[in-house]
Amino acid sequence: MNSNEKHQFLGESGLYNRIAVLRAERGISRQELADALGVNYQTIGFLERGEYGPSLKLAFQIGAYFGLPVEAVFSTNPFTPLSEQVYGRPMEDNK
Amino acid sequence: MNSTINLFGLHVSMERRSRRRALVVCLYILLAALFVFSWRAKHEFDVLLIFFIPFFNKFFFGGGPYAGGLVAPFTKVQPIWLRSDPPPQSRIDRWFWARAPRAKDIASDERDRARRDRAHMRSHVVLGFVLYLSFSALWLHREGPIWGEHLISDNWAFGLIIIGVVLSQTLPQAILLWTEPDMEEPQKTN
Repeated sequence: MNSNEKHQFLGESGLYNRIAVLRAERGISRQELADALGVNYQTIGFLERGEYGPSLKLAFQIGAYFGLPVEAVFSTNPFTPLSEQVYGRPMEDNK
Repeated sequence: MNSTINLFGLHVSMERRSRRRALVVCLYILLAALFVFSWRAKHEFDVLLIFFIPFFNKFFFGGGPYAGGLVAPFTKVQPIWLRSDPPPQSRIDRWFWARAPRAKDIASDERDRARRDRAHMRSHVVLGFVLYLSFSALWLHREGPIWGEHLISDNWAFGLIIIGVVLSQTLPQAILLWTEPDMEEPQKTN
């Protein structure tokens, strides 16, 4: 498991997600995101930890909120680090 | 799910699952005591027990079309009187509600509804098991010697009905309170 996977939660939902990273990037609290999506703030926590798998509608709403396609937010496989995606250099190459 | 409960002005935090479980145990002990009292009184007070159940649902368990209670309303569509933001509160509601809730806090979201469905499925299984077990015990101790005759005395029949009503009305909410993990405070979730 690489360091990025450690910060991704598979949980009971069977889905990896980037909600926590995207939320932190934009400086949005769980309450603000919950209000925008029309769900309880507790639900955002469960989503981030992978303890709840969202409906298709909610998944698309989350993607639309962050201005990203849904596959950029949710995946059945661990996400590669964003830095690796942007610069194309695996973390091992930096050592 | 509400994180606090207001008992006549006494605000009690229910964020910890252990507290919610303790509340469920206390309420069922109270209901069992009421049931035994009514049983010994030959069901003279069953009607009080039956009318006590909505009180429990509203102020402790929730799940009905009310804003009070710990569990969010089970219905997706809110009653008309709760759609304004903040919803109107009666004097009695102010005594019991933890705070003036926002309309969106009262509504169940999709995760709440998914948990509601699972809780009802579980309670259906438990209710069926309890009633089956009760009826089997009743059959083994039947008064009449012939199958089907004098199978159920009025006392037993009333008892089974009361158990069924109480469990069917309270068990889904109790399962939700029992299984929901410790809650997070919104201000700590940045």
